[in-house]
Formats: sequence, structure tokens, C-alpha cells
Amino acid sequence: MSTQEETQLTLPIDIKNDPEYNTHIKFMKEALNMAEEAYQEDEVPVGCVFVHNGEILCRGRNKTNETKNGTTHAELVAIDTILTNENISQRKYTPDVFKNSDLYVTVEPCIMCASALRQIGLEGVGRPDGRSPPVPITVGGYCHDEAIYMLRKFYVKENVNAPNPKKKANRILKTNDLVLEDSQD
Amino acid sequence: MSGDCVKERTNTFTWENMKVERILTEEETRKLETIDVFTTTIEPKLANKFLKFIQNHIPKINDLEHVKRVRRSQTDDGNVNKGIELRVVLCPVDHISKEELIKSLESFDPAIIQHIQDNLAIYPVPKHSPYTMSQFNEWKSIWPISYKRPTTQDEELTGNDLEYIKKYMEIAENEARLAQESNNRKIGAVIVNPQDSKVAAIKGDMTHSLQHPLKHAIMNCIEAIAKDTAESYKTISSTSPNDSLHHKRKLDESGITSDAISAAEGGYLCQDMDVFTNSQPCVM
Repeated sequence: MSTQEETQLTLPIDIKNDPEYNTHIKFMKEALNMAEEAYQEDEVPVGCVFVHNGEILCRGRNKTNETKNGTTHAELVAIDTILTNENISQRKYTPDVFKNSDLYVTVEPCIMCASALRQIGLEGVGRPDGRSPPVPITVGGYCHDEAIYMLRKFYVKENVNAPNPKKKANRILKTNDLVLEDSQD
Repeated sequence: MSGDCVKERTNTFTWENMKVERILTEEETRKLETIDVFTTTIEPKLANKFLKFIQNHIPKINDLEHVKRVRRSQTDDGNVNKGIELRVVLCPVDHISKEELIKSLESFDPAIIQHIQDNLAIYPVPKHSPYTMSQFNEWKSIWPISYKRPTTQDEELTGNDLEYIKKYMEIAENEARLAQESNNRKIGAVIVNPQDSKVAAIKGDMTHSLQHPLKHAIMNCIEAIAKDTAESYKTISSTSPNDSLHHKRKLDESGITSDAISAAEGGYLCQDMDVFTNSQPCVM
């Protein structure tokens, strides 16, 4: 996931033959857990983990409603847990740690986060869908259906934090086109 | 650091060398784009009848209201058919197949259907309504179009606007200097609520002082405003004990939550606020 070639896409993806398949699934599940936490708090359910030397460096989930800050997307929240504003001299890591880290995120990063990821020097981004990304190197397809399910179950419920909440009593959560390992609801 | 971020300005900012220009919108800078349409010719004496007919028998043209239905031109075909040619727009080619089109025209007048078929041709016409006069003048050369000056088009900046901009740009510039004094990049930002001209936040770049590559001036302003907003939410919920954050999420009878109401009162995040900064914002 960390080569020097820019904007290289490993598509179409053949994730079944990926020797690191189990590792990617493990970290994607962690990202999905963060998304679930956001879902439980009525936030748009996006979650992520940064992985450094095979271990989770930090976790983040969308907090835009809680913080009243539209820029507190999962990726930026996770980065801030490492680069805290307080006790800067006692931080465990410098910003350079991200140059040798991988990101696992449940949705393709938005353009703000993609730019932020570039600026912290991240090279690899794992992502559940397989479309053209705005980030340097991505691998997609892991936990694809689980990630879709997460967003669907959010968008069938009424978003009380939307500027103009819509009534959605008639919406039904569609799952028959998804292959889910275990039912989460 | 990537190229996304604006490098520190080399020239010194002064009001004397500054010129305020409105940045043109996408509509205003758009180049000519075309869409292919089926057209045919019609004898002038049958034109009115034919236009009425196609209005009822051919799929309506959406989003092409600016395209004139008929183009009138002089023909000079070896002095034999010299006269006026009327070429009529039928519909975009992606709306209907040629066979379907001919079929729907058949009931018009059997005597001239052959003429219509023989003169059926695909022409490009401007896809978008022209937003500026210069677009209109350029685009009308490929097919006649109409031009309505948009009511939303901004007028030139007035003296009051310039005073408003100057006031807050000076604050942003000053904040940029302060940032530079702390070894940060020389970038400052001010976010103002234009409703009451109140400053919501003034922050400079802190990428060096916080050792955090994402602490850009504008991001710092947004964060400061968010903290203020979150504080005021806490005050509201602590003054009304029955209205804890958890209870606030419940829908009331009208289907609107108290959360949504207070969000509307306090503004939704930084919506409709003005930002002043001395450096072009990065993609983030």
C-alpha cells in the first residue's frame, strides 16, 4: 500500500488474492466500529483508523454535530488525537509519523480530508469502494457491503441535526443486495 | 508540504498596491458548450402551422429555452431556390431516435413529409443559457439564442463594499504578521457575520507553534467559532434542566427538533459568514 508511484490505482481490485487480506479486513472492522459509534451518536457514520507499524496509531469518527464544527470529519479527528494542542513537547509522535502510516476509512475521503491527508504526507489510503479517488494511492473493496450498510441505515433514519430535517417514515432499509457477515441490528 | 498550500507571499501588502476584484463565477467564465439537435427546414408559409404541430407531437425541450426555435437565413442555391430558408429545431438527438422522430412527424402533412425528411440535419446549439453579454455575442454565431441579464448577477463593488473589505483585510493582514512573528507562515484570517458585521473569529496560521501541519488560519477560525457555538449550546441546556442534550434530540409534535431550532437561530455552522484572508485558501 505504500509505493512511491503517484495516483496509482489497483483497480479492478482482486481482494481475495491479496496476501494482506485478513489484515485489511481487521483494520476495516475497526474503522467500521468507529462509524458505528458515530451512528449511535446521530452523526453521519464515518469512521477511520490510522495504522503505523502494523498497529493502530489512532482512531477517529465524524463529530461534526457534537463539536458544531463542520470540519471535524473522522480523518481530521483521528489526526488531532495524535497532534494534540496541549503539551506539544510531550507528544509521543511528530507529524512525520503519518508518512509511514496507512489509513482505513469507511467512505472515500472528501476533498478537504484528501487534501489534509496529502499535507500530512500520507501515502496509502484503504477505502471500501473502488472508484477513482482524490488521494495518492488507494486500495478499495474491503468490507464494501458493510460500509454501504452503515450509510444506508443512517440515511433511513431521520437526521435531527440536518438544517431542514426530512420525514422519512416510509423509507425501508434495503439489505437484500448486500452480503453481510453478521447482522448488526 | 504539498503544492496545495499557498507559499508565503513575497511582496509586501499595502492598500496602495491592492486592487479588489470580484472573482467570476463558473457561469460567467464558461466557454461555449454545444448540444446536438435535430433540425429541418420548412417553407415560410407553412412555418406557423408546423411550429404548432411540433409543440404537440415532439418531446418538449427542457433547459434549452435560450435556443431560438427557428433560424432564418438567406439561401442562394445557384439562383434557383434563392430566398429565405427557415431551419427549425426539433429536439435534442439524445431525446429520440431519427426513426421515431420521422414517425411522429408523419401525421403533419403527407405532401411535405419527404421535404422534411430530406432536410433533416443535426446541428450543434449552445447548451447553456448565456450568462454574460460577451458569451451571448460569441455563442449566437452558431445558432440564434436569447439573452436575459440574470437578476442575481452581482453589480460592481461599491464604496461601502470596499470599506467593509478593507477594514477586515487589514485585521487579517495584521494577524498574518503576528503569526509570522511566532515563526508560523504569514497567513491570517477573519470570519465575519455579515448580518451584524460582528467578528466571529480572528486567527493566524499555527502550523509551527502547534507543530501541526493542518492548523491553517481559516481552520483555526472555524474551530474557534465551533467552540463558542458549543459553549452557547451548553449554556442553553444547563439553564433548562428538562432539556438535556439527550432530550433535545427527541422530535416534538411539529416534527422539528429543538436542536434544529437552536441551530437555525445560531446559524448552521459557519453558513453565510464572510472570510477575509491574505492568502488564497488551500484545497482543505
